[in-house]
Amino acid sequence: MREECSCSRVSEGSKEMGGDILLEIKGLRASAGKTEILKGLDLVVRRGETHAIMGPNGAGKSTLSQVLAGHPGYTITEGEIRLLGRNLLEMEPEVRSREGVFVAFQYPVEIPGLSNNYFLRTALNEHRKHKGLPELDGGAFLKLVKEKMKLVHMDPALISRSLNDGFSGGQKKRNEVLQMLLLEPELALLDETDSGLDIDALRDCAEGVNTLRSSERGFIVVTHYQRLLDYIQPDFVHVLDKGRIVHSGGKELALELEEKGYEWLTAASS
Amino acid sequence: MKTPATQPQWLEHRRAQASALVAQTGLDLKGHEDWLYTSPTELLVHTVSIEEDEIHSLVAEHSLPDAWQVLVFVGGIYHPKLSRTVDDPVGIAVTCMNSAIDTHQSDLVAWLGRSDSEEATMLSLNLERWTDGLFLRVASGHELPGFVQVLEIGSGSSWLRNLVVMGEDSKASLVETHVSSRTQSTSSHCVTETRLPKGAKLSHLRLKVDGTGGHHYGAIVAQQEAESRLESRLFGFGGVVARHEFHVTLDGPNASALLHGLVKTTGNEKADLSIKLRHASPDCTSEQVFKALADGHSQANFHGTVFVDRDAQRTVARQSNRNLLLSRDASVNSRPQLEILADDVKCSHGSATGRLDDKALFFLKCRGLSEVDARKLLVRAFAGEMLLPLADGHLKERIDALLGEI
Ligand SMILES: Nc1ncnc2c1ncn2[C@@H]1O[C@H](COP(=O)(O)OP(=O)(O)OP(=O)(O)O)[C@@H](O)[C@H]1O
Ligand SMILES: [Mg+2]
Repeated sequence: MREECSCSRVSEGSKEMGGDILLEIKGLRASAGKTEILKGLDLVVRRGETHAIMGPNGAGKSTLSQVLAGHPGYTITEGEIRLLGRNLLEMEPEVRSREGVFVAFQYPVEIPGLSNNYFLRTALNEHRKHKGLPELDGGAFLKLVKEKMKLVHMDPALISRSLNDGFSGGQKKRNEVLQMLLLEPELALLDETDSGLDIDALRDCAEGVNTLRSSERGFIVVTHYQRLLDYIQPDFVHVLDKGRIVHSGGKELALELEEKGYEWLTAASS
Repeated sequence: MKTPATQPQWLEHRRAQASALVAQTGLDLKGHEDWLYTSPTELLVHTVSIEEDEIHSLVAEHSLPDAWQVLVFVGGIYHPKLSRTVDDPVGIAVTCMNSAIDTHQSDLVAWLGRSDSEEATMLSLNLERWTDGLFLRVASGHELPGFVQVLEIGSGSSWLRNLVVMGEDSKASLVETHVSSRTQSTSSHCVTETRLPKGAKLSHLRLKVDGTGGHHYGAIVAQQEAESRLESRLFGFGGVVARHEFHVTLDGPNASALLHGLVKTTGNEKADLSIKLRHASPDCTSEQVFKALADGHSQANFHGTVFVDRDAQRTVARQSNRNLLLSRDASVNSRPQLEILADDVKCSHGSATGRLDDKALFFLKCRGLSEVDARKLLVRAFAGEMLLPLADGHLKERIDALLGEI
């Protein structure tokens, strides 16, 4: 894997970075039941890039996350999503995951009775099998996971608890980032991973993302707060409204949005 | 089995009394309050003896290397050659019931069938017909050095009665494994009876793994005195029809009982769980957790009754029944029941039946697990509450593996 190199990140506002196209979304329309939510969304993420998506409540940000992950509750009526040129929409959710797509959900599920340790090891080993690597046994896995937990300052005791069961909001989000660190995806989308976090947790989660950032990987962070973007500096900021990207810019756009709100953009789009 | 000619008169008499009780109700009990979904007649079917080869392979597969002693019963009769036993240490006796009739007659006279509820027809039928079983005696203040395993190989129709006689402040751990021919029709009946005097602690686990022709009746009957503790766990898999009964009476202050039961049914199987737990003394605690995983066209039934006597004040009784339907055609019937006469009690009961959580399934797939593996993990999660307290070892691994077969 190539090392991250700061010069590969082009200065603010530039639209071209030159890496391979990792993810390409073209004219995507998606509905839940009879309601159309995504209404012709376009987005291109190249290797090495980090994109931030902002936008008002109900704009369709989480819907985009779910559609990317392969949630069966949404119907794609038009458009396409390609991962490294291949049709992502034809892949089952588990195949997308093994192929390197990771989505951290806005509301992580709790599964009482399922040990976090067992879950994480099973998931990692599925990915290792897919890559033709040998599976990790309990001991080797525990060593690895403890290392990664340190990175996000996660209480080691949480490894033997049930998955997210009774976890605090911050612990759940740290656990999502931990999963990402273990699975080392090519493309990760984090849906409001920063919401509800205290300052320390915010920094830890951002740190988790930054450790993985490289010229090979792409990130999409969905957030409502410019604060997160101080820690995870994006190459691009997009505004999603009413199911479409209505405006894109460099990281300074986030500051502008913080100041002016969305109205000046959303009024124009409707 | 001792023939009527060789068995002592007291035993002959006791069998006759039991037989008279059976005659009172008869065996076609379907529709009776305690038998809403099954009938004893469904368990008493035409059976076939299993082949010698299969006996050996079942013993090899199911006898637990970490058990202190393993007593094997085939078709209801003790098989010393297949068993693994040691000489009895001081204060402890482990033998088969057929020998105990001679060697521990006073214990048998005092306790055999004494805790049976007269209304429970299948207990009476077992008392009438038993041919052998485990006799375990632990003297006051003594503790077993490890757990004893009773391994029953069901062949034809078999009738076992285990009697556990414990002294004050004694401790014992008993594991029962009931298996049957993988394909032949069998009908096995086993009652484990115990009396726990002051401070005695018994940990009991029963694993039932029937083949495609297995019919099974299993019961635990326990009478508990002050400060005694019973933990009784059941794991039931396979077979055609199974009926599991728990008859527990808390009859001394500060006695406590933990009853866990997990049954998994597939195909056209039917499993009945029937629990009768009585708080007869004040300050006792009971906790029941029963779960069923029903797949295919199977049916799982739960009927759990907690009785709290008038003077059983400060009773704490919890009961929960949770079921998971794994297919559209599976069905579950749940009847939790509380009958409380005392006024100062903390009793709770809950019953819930659901399906695998779609959100959880989707989440697991999003982390790379296949549909099948995700389902397995959720089934394990559902059963986790029952698996977690088990000591690591062969038995836990076996139960875990049986849960994974979905
Ligand atoms: N399964 C569904 N069925 C019906 N409507 C849905 C469904 N999923 C989303 N919606 C609707 O689609 C719209 C977009 O929802 P979405 O959750 O994607 O918004 P969001 O941009 O993530 O908002 P927030 O910032 O509040 O998280 C909302 O109006 C929502 O109610
Ligand atoms: Mg959202």
